Amino acid sequence: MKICIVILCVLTAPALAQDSGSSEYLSFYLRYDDRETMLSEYEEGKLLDYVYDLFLSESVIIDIRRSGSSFAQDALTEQRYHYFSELCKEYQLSELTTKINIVTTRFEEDAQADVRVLYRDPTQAKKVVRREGVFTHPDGWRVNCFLSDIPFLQGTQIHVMRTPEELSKLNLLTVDEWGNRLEIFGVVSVTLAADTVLPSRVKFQIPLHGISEVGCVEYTLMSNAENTFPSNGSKASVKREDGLMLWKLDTNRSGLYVIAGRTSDAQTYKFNVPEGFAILSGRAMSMSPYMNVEAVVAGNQLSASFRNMPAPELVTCEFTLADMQGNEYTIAAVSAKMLMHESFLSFLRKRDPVLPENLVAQKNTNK
Amino acid sequence: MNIRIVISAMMLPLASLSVAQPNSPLVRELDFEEVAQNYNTYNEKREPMSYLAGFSMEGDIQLLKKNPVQVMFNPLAKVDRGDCVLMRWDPVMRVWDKLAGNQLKNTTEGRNLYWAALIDSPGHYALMKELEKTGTTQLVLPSGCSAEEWRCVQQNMGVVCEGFAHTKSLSVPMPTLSPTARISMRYRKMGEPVQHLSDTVLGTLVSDFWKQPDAVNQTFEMSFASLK
Repeated sequence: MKICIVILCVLTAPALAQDSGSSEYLSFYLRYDDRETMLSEYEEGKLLDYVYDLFLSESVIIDIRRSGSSFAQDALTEQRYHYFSELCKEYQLSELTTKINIVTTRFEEDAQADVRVLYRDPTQAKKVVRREGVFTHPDGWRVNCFLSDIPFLQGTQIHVMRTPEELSKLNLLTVDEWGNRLEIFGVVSVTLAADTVLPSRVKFQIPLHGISEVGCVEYTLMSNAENTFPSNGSKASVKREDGLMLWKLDTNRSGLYVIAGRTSDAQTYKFNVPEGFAILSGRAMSMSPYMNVEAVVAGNQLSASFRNMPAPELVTCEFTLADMQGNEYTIAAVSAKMLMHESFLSFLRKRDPVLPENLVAQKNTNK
Repeated sequence: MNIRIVISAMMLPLASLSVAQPNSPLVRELDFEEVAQNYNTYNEKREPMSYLAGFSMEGDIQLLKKNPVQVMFNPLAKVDRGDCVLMRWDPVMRVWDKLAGNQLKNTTEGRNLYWAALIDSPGHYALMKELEKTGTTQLVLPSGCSAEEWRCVQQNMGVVCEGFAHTKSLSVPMPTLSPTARISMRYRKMGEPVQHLSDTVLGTLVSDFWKQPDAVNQTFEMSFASLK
């Protein structure tokens, strides 16, 4: 008995889906003048009011009522059928979505009507139930997505860059758009399989070391001709699951994404140039932890500063200076600590002893 | 159909469209040196702006109206997209006018992110940013001298200021000037013909030329001792 009920349910389910009497269908009725094969002007206008909705609708059913059993009635019904067939072609109602029936019973809602048009409301959102699941890649990353999307996501390549050498190869600046220094936890390259366009965003879960549930910010990686740098920061979603710290990255496209946190280092270095020089650019670098920061050069080019820096012995600096004759001088790979205790000029003199003696070096300061 | 062109701040080869289409617009980069020589970086209120990148576009205006060109800029480090303004050169007023409603939008090509804007008429365009500090620096000429036309270029700030008034002191609308700021002017000493001074720097090494700045009033006094 139970088996019979189950089979019955399975058989009736598609039938219900096709049931034009369900509430999802809208309807209107048309009347012909006596024995006419063409609709009157009024009725045709009424039909045209609905034509655009019919065009957009995913299912249209046109029921034409056959009112008698005589041969004359058959001819009349055939002509009316032909009229609606032509109408469907004229207004590009697809054969796949439009069906014309001939019925013999009167319509309950309008007993005098000759034609009933039923159509599914095109403005009503499609209700599709899709099952979600988690796919785990052998490399350890996971993805939350619809089960139907998994075959497309299996070919995704995710590469995590976190060693100083890899970050240095990217020439990645470790500051945000506001000039605050960042500690980079990782740069993740997501490459979806070729020609894959995901209709909705999916949530990649990437295991990373060093991240925490609080304080992590995710960025997209922008690039200009000289550097790459983090931009468009927003709070990163980090959760601990199965003993792993997972970065939950929402995306639907290939790209480079950065997860980073604001550094807690608070020192500011400020370097003044000696009289007769102007500073053109400056950079502070460190490989442990990885850091690559451009100096903020004052508008008058007489000083340059770095904010949120660690102890100066960990940092090397690089500066380009210019004298007023337009000669450029580079001070490369000098310890920030050493530079604070000596001066730009003593470094320049070591390299170029013929610098004018009357130049007076200003002492650099460390605030 | 939108045509896409990428403008990079450091890209010297010019971005141009296919020459196979005779009516297609021609786009070339406008570098800072060209702006420094021929234009300025003033906005509609004649306040100096900081020049970030720019381009010139030539083409049929009617075709451009129908098919606007999407110009893409490389993003600039430490510059927020929201702070950037796309401006168009007004050759009559010699200022850059803000393009109303034309906001830069993020767009991607492959893995690269760009800032994009739609351009539908020919002209010179620049991506500018407001200066954080405002103020004025006076460059005072020696007695008996007056400038007829002057220009001050400060490359590190991306600023070009100019003036055309018959004046004895140049009011540069910037709070400080770098020692590498370049000053050019046409000036006249009393009873002498017009002379040209081009691209001299304000640096203190040219000790006979500019005197030390007056730190209180941001005023530099000029001496012609070194010109002899």
